[in-house]
Amino acid sequence: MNQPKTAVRRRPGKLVRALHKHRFIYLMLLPIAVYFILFSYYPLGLGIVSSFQDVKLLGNATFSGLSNYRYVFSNPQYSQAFVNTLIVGIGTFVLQFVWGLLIALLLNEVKNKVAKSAIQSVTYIPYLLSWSVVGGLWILLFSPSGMVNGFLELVKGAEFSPIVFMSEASFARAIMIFTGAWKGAGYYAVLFLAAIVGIDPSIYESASIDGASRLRQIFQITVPNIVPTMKVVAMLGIMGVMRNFDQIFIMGNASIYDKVRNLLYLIYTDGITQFKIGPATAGATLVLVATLIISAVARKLMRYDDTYED
Amino acid sequence: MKKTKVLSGMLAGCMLMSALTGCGGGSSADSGSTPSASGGDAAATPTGTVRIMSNVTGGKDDAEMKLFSEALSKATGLTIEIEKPASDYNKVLMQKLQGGEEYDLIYCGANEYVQLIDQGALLDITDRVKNSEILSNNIDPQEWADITVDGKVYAGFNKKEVHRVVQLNRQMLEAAGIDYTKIEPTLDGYYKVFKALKENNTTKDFYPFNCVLSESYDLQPWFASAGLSNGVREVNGKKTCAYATEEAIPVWEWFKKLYDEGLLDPSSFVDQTKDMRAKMEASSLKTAVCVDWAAWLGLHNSNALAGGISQDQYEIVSLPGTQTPDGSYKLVKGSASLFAVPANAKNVDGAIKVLEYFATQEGGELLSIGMEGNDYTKEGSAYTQTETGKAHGNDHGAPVPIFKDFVNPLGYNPGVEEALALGQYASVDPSLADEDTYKKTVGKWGIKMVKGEVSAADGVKGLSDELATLGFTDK
Repeated sequence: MNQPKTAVRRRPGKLVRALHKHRFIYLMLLPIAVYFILFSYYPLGLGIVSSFQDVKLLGNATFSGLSNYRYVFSNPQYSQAFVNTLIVGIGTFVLQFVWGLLIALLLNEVKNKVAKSAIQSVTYIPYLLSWSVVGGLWILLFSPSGMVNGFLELVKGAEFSPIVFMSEASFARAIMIFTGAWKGAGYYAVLFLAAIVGIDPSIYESASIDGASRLRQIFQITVPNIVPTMKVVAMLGIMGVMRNFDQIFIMGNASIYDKVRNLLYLIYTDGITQFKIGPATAGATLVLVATLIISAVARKLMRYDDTYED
Repeated sequence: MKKTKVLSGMLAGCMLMSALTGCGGGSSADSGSTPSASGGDAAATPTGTVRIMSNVTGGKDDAEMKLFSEALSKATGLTIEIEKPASDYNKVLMQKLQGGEEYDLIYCGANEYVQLIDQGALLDITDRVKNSEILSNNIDPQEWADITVDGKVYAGFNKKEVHRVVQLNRQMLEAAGIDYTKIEPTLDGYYKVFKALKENNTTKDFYPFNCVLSESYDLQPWFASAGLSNGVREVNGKKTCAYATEEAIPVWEWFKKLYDEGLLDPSSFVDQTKDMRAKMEASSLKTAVCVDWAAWLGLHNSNALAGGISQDQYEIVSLPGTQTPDGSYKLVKGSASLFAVPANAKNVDGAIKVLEYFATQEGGELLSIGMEGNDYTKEGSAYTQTETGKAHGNDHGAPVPIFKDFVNPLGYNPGVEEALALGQYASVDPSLADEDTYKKTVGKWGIKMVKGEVSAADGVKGLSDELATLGFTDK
């Protein structure tokens, strides 16, 4: 005898239940998601598609397989630019990180509020200025009649003949790294300082009672307590290692391009000034992939996720 | 967490890709549906709207742009709409064309012209040019020859390009006991001039000679002494850069001597043209000799006059540089400044009408001295420049219009006519699609040689090898 069938209603899945439960939050997030899909991920997708096409300014694009990637890989300027990108990018990040940390630690020791605010403003202002301003300023300072040569003349005497720093290939990367770090150090300092002021003062009080010197307190209390912030700052910095364009565009010149011309600059010249859209998007896709790889490796090495999963 | 990792990485690249995606995947225009390029009905008067994408041509601000469009509309009987991006012209042009915008004329320089032809973005107007009496008769045939690519023409002219001349500060020369008309046109002759200028001027940071070394244009008047021409040219069936040959060595060594002896401004390695011009100005006087466009000579002089400095106190004069072994001179003429017809233009007849107007006396006046009532007033045949006109320096896109018999009713700026007369020695460099990289490569090796980082012999070899590797020249 057949048993009467009973209607069994399947319980909705965990995801559906979660969506239903938080539907108003998701509804509020929808415009933001749409914004990112339309203005970030859709163009990103189009860009990747274009990298496999022969794209003309007018007329239909045609599929061209890997020819754009072959162009990029066979062009010695791209391989040189890749090396320049990594050296200048990583160099700038490391110096900016250390410089920013140093400013924050030192600022934390300044007790006079006015002096503290003034120093903080002075170190932060370069970050707010565009590279047109900052680059022009440093070009002037490094010029044969600029302040740096003036100082050297003062030290070495009248026989000193000015150095054209901006045309010296041997100085080029160091100048880019230094000026890049100079511009951004104040920003990192603000982030570190925000973390430092959040440290419980009672820890310092206890350490003082136990006789810990100020220097010891810095290295054994302050620095360990801001490690999570340092990890975030490091991740953001590493993700931006390959994104430097403005500085090279403003400060580069014929005599130093071999040492500083980076991938974004080449992509710009190929894509915007020469209308070679296919190779430019292929180059940009490779920058994206390289950024993903570098970010993933850095994340693993820093145990970034462990910090937030603990 | 894995999703977060991937998404955060993707976000890092999004900004970069977004800049290029306006360029990607666009496919709107169908060049096959473009209007006939061969000329249509020649008897019909073009009507309708002509949309122009302009870079330098037009008014100096929005209000003036409106006046310019109105004047052009009135003169041609067309409705003229002009778009003039405030900056990043190439980027805007690329995005507009990719986005399917339709223009009837787009401004471009000679390099972009070659690139746009290569992209299939321009319409062949060869037959229309041939069928137009104005375009055929009012413009020097050599100008057309210079912009003919594989027997086809895709654009008309915005202006007549002038040439770069050696510019000298007359008062500084006279103070050093030099009459500029008697300078010996050799490298040694100019060396003596620079030496005398330096000895006569003790101003700190004064260098008698400034030369933007990264711009290979500036080098031509000096390399003429060895009979060498600027740019990449075909010699015995091979693409060659004369500056990278053994014949160029004495000239590079001459530059090095100038640098070693403090006669060449060391900032020449990094200066841009605007920096060099600033040093030539009456308000600066940091240099006495440079190579620059003929029109700029007039601007230096007219700016000084406007500032109350008489020509007895400051005057820039021109010379053609060093003599070639056969007794002539060599100067670089600017590569063309054009208005091209895009492949998707809707009103080609109207576009041709505008190009014809630009090649007439009246069109030339609009492009140079500007709009009547705004830049100048006219009573009978007498033109009087207004204060606004004076501030605009006779330039609304074409300081020297393309019409071969053009007469500037207000006259040229002081010194320009003398400089223009040297045009007989000037020629256009063959166009290169990636001229920027070419110039930077020549500049880089030139600077190495001048600074003494490499010997001139090694330098020309290095330059030659790199240009060949980059595909500019044949090995």
